[in-house]
Amino acid sequence: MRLATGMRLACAALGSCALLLTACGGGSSGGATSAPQQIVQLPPPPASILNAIAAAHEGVAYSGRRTLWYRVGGGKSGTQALSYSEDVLSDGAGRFAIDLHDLVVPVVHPSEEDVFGLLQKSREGFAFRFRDFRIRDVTRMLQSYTVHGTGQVKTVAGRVCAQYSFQKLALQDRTYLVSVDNATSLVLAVEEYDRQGRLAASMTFDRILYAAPAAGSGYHTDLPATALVPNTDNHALLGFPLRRPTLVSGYDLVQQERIDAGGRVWARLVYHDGIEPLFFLHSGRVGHLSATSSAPAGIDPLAGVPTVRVSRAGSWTIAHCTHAGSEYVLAGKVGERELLAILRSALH
Amino acid sequence: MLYSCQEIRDRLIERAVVTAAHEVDVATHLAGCAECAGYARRAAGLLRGFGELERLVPPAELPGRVVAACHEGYLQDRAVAALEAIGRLEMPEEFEFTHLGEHDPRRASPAELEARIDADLRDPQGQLQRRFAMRLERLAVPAELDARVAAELARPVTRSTAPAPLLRLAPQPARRLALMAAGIAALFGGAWLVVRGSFAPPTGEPELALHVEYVDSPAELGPMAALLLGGLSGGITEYETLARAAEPQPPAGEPR
Repeated sequence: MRLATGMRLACAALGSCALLLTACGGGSSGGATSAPQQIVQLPPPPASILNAIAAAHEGVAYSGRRTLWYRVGGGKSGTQALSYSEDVLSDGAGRFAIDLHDLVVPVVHPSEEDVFGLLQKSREGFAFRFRDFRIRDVTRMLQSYTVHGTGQVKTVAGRVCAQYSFQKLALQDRTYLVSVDNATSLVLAVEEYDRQGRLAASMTFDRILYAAPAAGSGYHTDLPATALVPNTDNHALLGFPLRRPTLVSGYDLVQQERIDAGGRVWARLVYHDGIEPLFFLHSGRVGHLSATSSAPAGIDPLAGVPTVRVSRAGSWTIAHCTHAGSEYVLAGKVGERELLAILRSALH
Repeated sequence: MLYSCQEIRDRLIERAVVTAAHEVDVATHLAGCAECAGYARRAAGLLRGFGELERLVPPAELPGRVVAACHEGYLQDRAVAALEAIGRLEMPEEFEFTHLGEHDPRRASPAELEARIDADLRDPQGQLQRRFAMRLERLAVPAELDARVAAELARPVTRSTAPAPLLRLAPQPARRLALMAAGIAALFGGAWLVVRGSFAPPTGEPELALHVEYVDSPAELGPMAALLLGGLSGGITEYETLARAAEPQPPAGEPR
């Protein structure tokens, strides 16, 4: 009993030391442990820098390796995490590829890691375009976030970077600390903090080479998509009338297209707040591509109150609704309440 | 013969038919190209991974279902599906004008039908209630009710021209005053209602009821939702699967 108490005290002391080190900014450059509230806030960077950061995501040719880390769920002690390194390349003209290099945490059998790599490969388009931090629209972003320089100069993958903080205005529930290569404006490191100031996710380049990828490099190939006509229900194009959400406050609609996936025809609407994307997908009652595809089991698609299944993964919330034979999917870094409000505005 | 990186990778994928001579070329290239060597390792890992995946046993009823699918009824279903897949040609507008006429009321019925279906879908509970109400057994009208209605209808109608009891008691000026007071009250009452309505917070339609379920596994979402969440979250959705297969290790802290 006494031994257990002693160990508990020792753990508490070690925890206090770690906290002190954290507060003093201790740790390596890659180990992001300082709470965002303690960051010095310099004046916002000029628009030219923000525009350059926005353009660099797809406009800079490079190849490199980076490590990503995600807090998962939280667990009892908040120590569950997923971490892996990946090889990324971009030709500076919109073509890119991402390949898993190594699954760091959890350590699994090589065959499991290979399957995970295959899954990641199949989602590289999402990863490059929507998972990774990027400024999508400077004007919109400045309406949704407060941006400051932190005054810190960081060295990431041997490159000198300036650090900026992006804090979401609504609810102030998320802060990004972003290290930007001074020479190329490419984002080389990102730390995402939640409302409690806990690190939720991070990305750090381990090495980077600014040059056009080799001639034989393979790039991501998009699924075929057809652009939808704005402000119409696109009945002729989809085969069903698109029910657009009317309430997506704080987000701009930037992309709307028809995609065929999972045996159904989908209308995919992509919104963003300048940084974070938000998805709304609708597949209508007659949106089946084949007779075999059907609604998820256990849900009556034609009667009763609309059924919504809500799930969370990291900072993301997703809602999947079946109603009157239609399927709706909404995903964003927003709360469940906001997602359901958007869904209701589409169903009304 | 020298091959490009892409050709080497194609040959790695087609390894089953690569000849010995090609193997030498591939090996030579891999020895000098780190990128392709890494690609080869990953490709080999994937092949190994697929090879070690547990083979699913087909359900016992599969042979029976395959046989059943070849029977005549299913052939008919497939034929119907194939015909439906061919697509339907839109009727030219000229045809409608020629044969139905521009103002034929039948042309309005599809829109009405669509509107009714839409209304039903927006209020499925109400629609169900209406349908069930219509299915209830209709009770027969009692004979006594018929007799009473007939007697009431047969009674001669007498119209009175006298004023209402309240006004009948009052003298003429007082009656006029009462009418004016009622008019003023109605005017102010209406104005108050208009003002109140314009300043009242918009109540809008009642909030649409949703049945919300919380799920942990992305498999319980639809395939599109699971795919979307997996891509956006960086693969966190696979964590549970990976953690179950994980080798024993100390707790994972923050990034190294």
